[in-house]
Amino acid sequence: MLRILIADDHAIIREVLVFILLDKFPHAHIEQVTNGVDLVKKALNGNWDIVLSDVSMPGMNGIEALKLIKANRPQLPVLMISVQTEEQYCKAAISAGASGYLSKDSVPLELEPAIKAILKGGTYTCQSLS
Amino acid sequence: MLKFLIVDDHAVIRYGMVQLLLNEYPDALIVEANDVELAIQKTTETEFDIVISDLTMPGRSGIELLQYIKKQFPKMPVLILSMEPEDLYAIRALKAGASGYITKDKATQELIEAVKKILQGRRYITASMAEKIAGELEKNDDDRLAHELLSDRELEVFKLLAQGKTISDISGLFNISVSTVSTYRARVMIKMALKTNVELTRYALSNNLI
Repeated sequence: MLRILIADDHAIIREVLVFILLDKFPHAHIEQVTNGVDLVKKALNGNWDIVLSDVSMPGMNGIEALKLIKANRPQLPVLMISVQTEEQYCKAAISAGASGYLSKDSVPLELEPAIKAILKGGTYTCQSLS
Repeated sequence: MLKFLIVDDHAVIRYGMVQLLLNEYPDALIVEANDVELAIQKTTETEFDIVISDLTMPGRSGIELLQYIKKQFPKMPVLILSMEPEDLYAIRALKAGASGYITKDKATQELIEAVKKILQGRRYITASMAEKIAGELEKNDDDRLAHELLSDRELEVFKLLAQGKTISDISGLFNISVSTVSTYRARVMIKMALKTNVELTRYALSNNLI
């Protein structure tokens, strides 16, 4: 059973992610958090196959959370999701240890291939940024 | 068959709205538009039962779309769905003729309830909005905070300036000339009795506007 942890401060984005994930991975176990601090706590204390995290969250942002997760659980892949589409943000996330970067608008089409590529050990950046 | 028009520049938000609506109204026709110009075109092609629109989009804003629809199709209800907090925009939207206002964070819980009420010919107003409206009725201009005296467009320009956007940035975002943006800025400064963008930012921060 695929175990997925989602972090985004906007309920509607989490709802979209859950909807798509359950459609593409019907037996997945999915949990949600709304901020970076809870993300780090849950990521480090749980058994996850992949983390999906927003970049911009109040308090501790996604990149800060990513760095802490990678420092403690280097094998846990993290896919960053952001409204920012500029390449510089993508590069910053990958440099910080993200296994992938998607713009929020590409989520409906690219979330599934991104997760599959990352779970196979690869990296993924969305097509509009390639 | 119910017909919905969803207007938002973010594909992921439109996707979420479509899923929520189809879950409740599986036979509905749902049309999407990613900006006001396309939305206006769609309203001329189809008589929608309800338009659900974001407020802040590149180019023309949701308030402008709302004003257009109220003028051309007065019976077509518009529900505003926005990231902006209720405090700042709900009353403006309702005054402009919106049938309801929901923040995107509450969309998953409130969208369907709002749609049902509006389809019954009613307005969707939360208890907190009703309280604000009651408070507004008692105010005169002397009681208003400085930013409450701004027009809708002036308010948008004010917030962007407070966030550090330049006049060129704002010109590009709204597809208006630099001199028009400068005029808006000048009006904002006069109405709010401010002298510099730093003061503007300070005001916005202390009033939780950004």
